[in-house]
Amino acid sequence: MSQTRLALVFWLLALTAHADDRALPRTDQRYEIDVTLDPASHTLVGSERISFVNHSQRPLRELYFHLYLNAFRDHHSVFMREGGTQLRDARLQQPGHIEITALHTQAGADLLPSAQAELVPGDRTQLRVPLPAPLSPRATLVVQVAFRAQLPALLARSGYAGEFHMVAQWFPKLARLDETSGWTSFPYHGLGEFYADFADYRVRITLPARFVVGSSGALTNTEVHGTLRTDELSASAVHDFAFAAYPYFERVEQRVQGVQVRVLAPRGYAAAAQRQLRVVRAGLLSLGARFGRYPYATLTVIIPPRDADAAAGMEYPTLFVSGGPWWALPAALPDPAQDFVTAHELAHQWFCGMIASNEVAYPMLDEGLAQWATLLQLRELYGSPPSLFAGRALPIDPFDVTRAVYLRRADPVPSSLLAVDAYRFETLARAVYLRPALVLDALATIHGEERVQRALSNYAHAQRFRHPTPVDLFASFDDVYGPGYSEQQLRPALSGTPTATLEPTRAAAAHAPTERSFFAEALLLAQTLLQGLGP
Amino acid sequence: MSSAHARFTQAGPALLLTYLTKLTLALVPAYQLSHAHHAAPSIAPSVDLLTWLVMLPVLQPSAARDSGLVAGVAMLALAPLLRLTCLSSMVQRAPLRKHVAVAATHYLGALRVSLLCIAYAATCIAAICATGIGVETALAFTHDERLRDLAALAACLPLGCAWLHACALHDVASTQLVLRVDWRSALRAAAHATSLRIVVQSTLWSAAGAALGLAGLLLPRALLHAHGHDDSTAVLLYGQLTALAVTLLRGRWLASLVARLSR
Repeated sequence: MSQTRLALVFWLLALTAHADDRALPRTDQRYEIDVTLDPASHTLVGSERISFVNHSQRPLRELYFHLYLNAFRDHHSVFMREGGTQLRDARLQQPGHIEITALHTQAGADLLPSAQAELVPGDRTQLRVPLPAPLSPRATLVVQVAFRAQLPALLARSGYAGEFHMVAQWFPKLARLDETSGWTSFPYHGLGEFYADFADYRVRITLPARFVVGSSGALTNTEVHGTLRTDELSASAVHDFAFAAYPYFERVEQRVQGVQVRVLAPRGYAAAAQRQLRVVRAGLLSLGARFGRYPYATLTVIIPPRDADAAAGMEYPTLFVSGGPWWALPAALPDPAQDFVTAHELAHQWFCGMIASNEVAYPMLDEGLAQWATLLQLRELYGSPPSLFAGRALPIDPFDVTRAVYLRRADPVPSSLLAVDAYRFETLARAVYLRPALVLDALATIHGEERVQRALSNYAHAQRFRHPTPVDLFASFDDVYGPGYSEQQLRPALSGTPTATLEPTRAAAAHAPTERSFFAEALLLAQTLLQGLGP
Repeated sequence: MSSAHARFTQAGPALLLTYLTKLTLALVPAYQLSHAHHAAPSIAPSVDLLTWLVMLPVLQPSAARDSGLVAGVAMLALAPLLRLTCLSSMVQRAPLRKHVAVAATHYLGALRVSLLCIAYAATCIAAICATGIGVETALAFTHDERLRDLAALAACLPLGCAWLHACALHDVASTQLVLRVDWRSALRAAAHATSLRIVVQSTLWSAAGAALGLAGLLLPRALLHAHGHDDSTAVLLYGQLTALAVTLLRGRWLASLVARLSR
């Protein structure tokens, strides 16, 4: 699609976008957290006050908390048993854990003695807390929690590496309360991510004053007491809160459509930070036009230092951790090493951040759609014809690369519609990330890009600040493509049915023409390489 | 005493043999690479070799990789024989088969010379890399990865010099091997003869060969494709002319070395 036509599509989408795109919904949960980070011992000591409304239709007799740092407690956790460390190729060196030291209601009832900590044998990432009396629908409960956490040496998302601290999944957090089915709680899965209700957060972080903090939400106040500093932060209508702390962060900032975008990068990463800021700027405009404007006032991008790479490539509301080296190519040249992860995590601000599907039950809804949005962003960034290498001299399409990666192995790929515990590490990427993106691309090729865009735009707008399931996604496609289309075409393709029209196959790919000069060039290349070994 | 040009002309058949050997060995991985390109999922209708090579780590066409490995090992095994054949034919006028026989006589000596030159280069490289790692570690207090990497890179710059010196030493030692009988005395003579001037000349000739090779890889696409042509015969012809030219360039450098060391 030409850039002019793309601009026209954006303009039309922007015109039809909901007028309240920037409005944040009111939530019925509030976390007030006061925490102290000791970077020398890598510990967190904190207290939190959680106020929440029973928005389900039946009385609540218990609460479920997630204590996800316990995934790194030992090798017996579900996370470790399911091979969660494979994703980032790391080992459990220094364990981490979280412990609730006090838990009571505002009325003073001590809830801790009756709490059950091991809901899955060997795993302590969930806590079931019976309530002294049922909480009626629409009634409010306030609980006070005191906790102490030890961060692990970084191996997956959370932890420390030297003085860099990625503080994620760090506080006792309520599981998601579904309106009809009650609590949706699960352990920290090896290949899964997270699921929670939208809430308002006010977080006070105390740490040595020399540390620079990048966090979810916006800084509302700072106080310095001697060598310590307390940052007060606030985030509304988000389903998680994370922060990074490092003394050697440098900051690059820019305002984009009313959003204060801040890139925090280690010393020496100025070029990479500028490059990623450019990707975020373009992405906020492009994704905002497609799926509704980014509604928060801030967006923080963390580039971790090299030895903290295990924190990279993870999204949190209004914050994400990208990756990449300190060097970056000039803006005119494609640089996937810098751009890909940034574009992907930015897409998660929509498909995860705002459209908050259950990432364990339906990982495709956030990873697959985010992957598709990522590839579209790269296509736009790199111009027409798109190129991942050396500008226009060597044209190559991000979707073609994805197709090649998807098809390079001949073994069958499981359905994209399964829960995370049904996948192995080797199959997750192809089933959950790649196939959905390719199916949507095939849809765009067959029926036109505008209709795919419309279906997903409708889905994104309808499910904004909600918790959709694949049924909601299919309903949006049926609205655009006609009743029954999803069941006949989309679901079989995503399920990997070999006869599905939209399923990427080797047979289809083999029909693409190839250059006749390929053998001649391959021969010359082989000769040139042999020249290096020759006489 | 013949001039370098005369020696180069005299070695024409041996250089042609070298070119044909490389062509024959290259045919196998080239065929496998081409086959893998067709059999593996197509990336894009207009994809060309270099773009596709970017994808090689992803696609992993194992047959092409394996045949490339076999061709590479065969080239390494044949290299001393071909090199000595060329050098021998630059030293004296004789039928090609006689030069091949001379080369075969010196084959083990040439292998020893190559291995010792590699050992020399590896030792230099190890020492320089250790310096680079030391510099990088020493600068840890700056918490600036760019500074640390660039300083380490700067500390490793002599790597290039060591490598170039080893290459020149290898060429000189190979030449001495043809001029003398014993590989030990050839190596000793080479160590004395490898002056800065020879290293610089060797570098320039190698750079010219590399530039020509690179142009051979890039120009067919730039010239032919830019004009809307997709003529595989023209690309093949152009590529082979380039490969032959690179071999001749290398031969010309060896001829000048023989001329110099024969005085």
